[in-house]
Amino acid sequence: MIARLDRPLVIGSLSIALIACMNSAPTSAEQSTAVPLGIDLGGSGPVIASPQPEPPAHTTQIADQTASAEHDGDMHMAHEGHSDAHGTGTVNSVDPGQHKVNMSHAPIPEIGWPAMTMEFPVAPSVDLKAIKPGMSVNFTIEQQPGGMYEIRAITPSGGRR
Amino acid sequence: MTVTRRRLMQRAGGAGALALSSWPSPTLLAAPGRAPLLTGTEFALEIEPVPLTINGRRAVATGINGQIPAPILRWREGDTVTLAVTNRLSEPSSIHWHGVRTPSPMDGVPGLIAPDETFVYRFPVHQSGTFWYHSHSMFQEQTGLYGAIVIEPKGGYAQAFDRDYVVLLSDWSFEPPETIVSNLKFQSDYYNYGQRTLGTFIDDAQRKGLADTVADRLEWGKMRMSPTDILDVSGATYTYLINGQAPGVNWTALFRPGERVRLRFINGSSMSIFDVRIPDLPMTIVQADGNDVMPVTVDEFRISVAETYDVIVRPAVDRAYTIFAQAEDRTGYARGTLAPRPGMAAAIPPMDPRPMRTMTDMGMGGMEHGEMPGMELSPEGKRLEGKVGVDNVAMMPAERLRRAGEGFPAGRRVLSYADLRATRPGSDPRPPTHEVRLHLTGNMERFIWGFDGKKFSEAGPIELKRGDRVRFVLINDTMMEHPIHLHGLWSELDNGHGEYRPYKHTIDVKPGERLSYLITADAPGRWAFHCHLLYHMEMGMFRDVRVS
Repeated sequence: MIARLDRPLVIGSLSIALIACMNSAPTSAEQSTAVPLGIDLGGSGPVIASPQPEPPAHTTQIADQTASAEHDGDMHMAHEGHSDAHGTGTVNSVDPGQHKVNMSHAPIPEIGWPAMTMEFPVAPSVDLKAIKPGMSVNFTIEQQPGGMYEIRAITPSGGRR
Repeated sequence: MTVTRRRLMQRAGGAGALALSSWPSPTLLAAPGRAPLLTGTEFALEIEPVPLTINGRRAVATGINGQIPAPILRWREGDTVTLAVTNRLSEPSSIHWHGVRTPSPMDGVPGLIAPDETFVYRFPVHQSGTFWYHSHSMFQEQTGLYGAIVIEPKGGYAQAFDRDYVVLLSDWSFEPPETIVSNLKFQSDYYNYGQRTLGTFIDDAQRKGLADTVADRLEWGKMRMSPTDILDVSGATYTYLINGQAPGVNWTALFRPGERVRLRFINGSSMSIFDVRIPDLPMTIVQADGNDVMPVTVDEFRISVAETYDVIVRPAVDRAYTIFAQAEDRTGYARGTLAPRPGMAAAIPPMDPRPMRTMTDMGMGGMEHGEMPGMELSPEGKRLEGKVGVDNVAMMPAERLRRAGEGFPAGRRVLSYADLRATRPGSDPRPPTHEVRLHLTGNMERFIWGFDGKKFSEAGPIELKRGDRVRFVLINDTMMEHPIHLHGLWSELDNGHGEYRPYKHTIDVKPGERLSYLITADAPGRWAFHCHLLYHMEMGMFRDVRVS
């Protein structure tokens, strides 16, 4: 126990030095030489209509995702430029300390998101006391300057899973 | 230990003996091509020492046809491929076609290719997708013997894209692998510089109170592991590579704005798990371990050793984007660039904070340490406890498939295993008739790894009957992640999608996690079953699965 606490002190400064030189930024000399280019294996060619699964009865989230994938057989990318969006989901956990909520949300077509399970930071103005795991919720998220989405509003929509 | 396992493998007889004999090199196979991409049905591959320069320092690595990574092999679904592999090393070698369903003698594990001999692998290709190949001998995988396999689907792709690149991640060290292993045996946290210090102890004591902090540290002391030990081997010795290139070299894939670009990520590392993102560019995951999944768009995904993910991105703007793959322990990163023209670069983001292992990772999810004296181990746990190869038994293994893992800042969409849903129902609708339960166990301080507290040399094979439908249940009693790879048979991850469960060849089991998957024992033979962390496998986390 004592030894464990002591030893890292000795190597502490060494570790910083090591990490600092491990992945040094490219030098100008390196950048001026020709970069290795990836080998392009080419395009997909004609796309087949892939067999789409039956929407499962137990979750509407995935059914929606299936429907949207069927819609054009193409990717759904997040669109740039939107600042807020509305969604529904089920809360998996609440972290009051870090002011975060883990949630399985339904697709959010406004920003092209499919159904996902993810953790959201919550705006400081939002009171999380009423939000419990298992709860179905409606929420609004807003994109922050760094590109992250933050919950601006969250309310129970009634019913537990 | 290595020798023991090799000897056992060589004594195998049957299929092993067949694979060990070397065939005359057929005339149709001309001199090996030196190109980084080989296409067709007949391939001549030479395993040989290859000079390599990383960050200005020279070394001799292990490659194929002068290439590191080994050449991309491009096959077509429905073809029969012939690969004459000649060993130009001074030690035995072998090639395993990772994720490709070959007959057992062609799988690259039962037999070894002696120096200056040629073994001809020949098998029909009944699948499509992104896979890879690597040595299954000695430590050659660490020294460069890995390459991509791209199999074109017979019926066409499910998604449209305009360009297609392999992004093979790996970890390079100038230390010989034997030195890395002996360092780890000598001191398991040899490469771990991120330990909590007296300073953080004082911080914690001020925050949590002295008694709790002492209790917490004592608990970790008993676990024989420090909570920041995320990966055994770190950036202290590794340089992380994209397609064989160090971060400063800036491997670049070109696109024209608006094009859809397919990126085939392969983790060909020996010991490194990566978190991959392309800042400002959402990635749509379309394939996992070579099998199509329902498209799911994320900002980041964790790729464990030996896994593959295909993503499609659509960069709309005339600018460069950084492909950023930080090691899970945040001691370094691999970096490349997507750009409209060569020579461009985007900002390299700072690495995220190091993940911390928690009580959930110890298999004690939701428990305060004050409650622990009253806890009871299961009979199974009691059987394992006290074995020399077992320093921890997860008391409360948790279902963690909906979690992406530790170390991701909030607000990013990060892939979890629960997001993977196959595009078509599984081919075997039968429910499993029996269960194989295995604990993933280890003794960190002695760097011993195994299943159920046994090293490979101490355990018998797992016997399955041909046609069996079996559920494998894995319980991770250790504090490390373990990418578990079963050769020859698909592992259908039971992640809540019913018959649309994803087919995988490598399943990452998080610390303290319990998960299960189904297999159909439809291919006879001896199949390796192991942790794909190279040094864990070599230290005993390996079993034989026999289907007869």
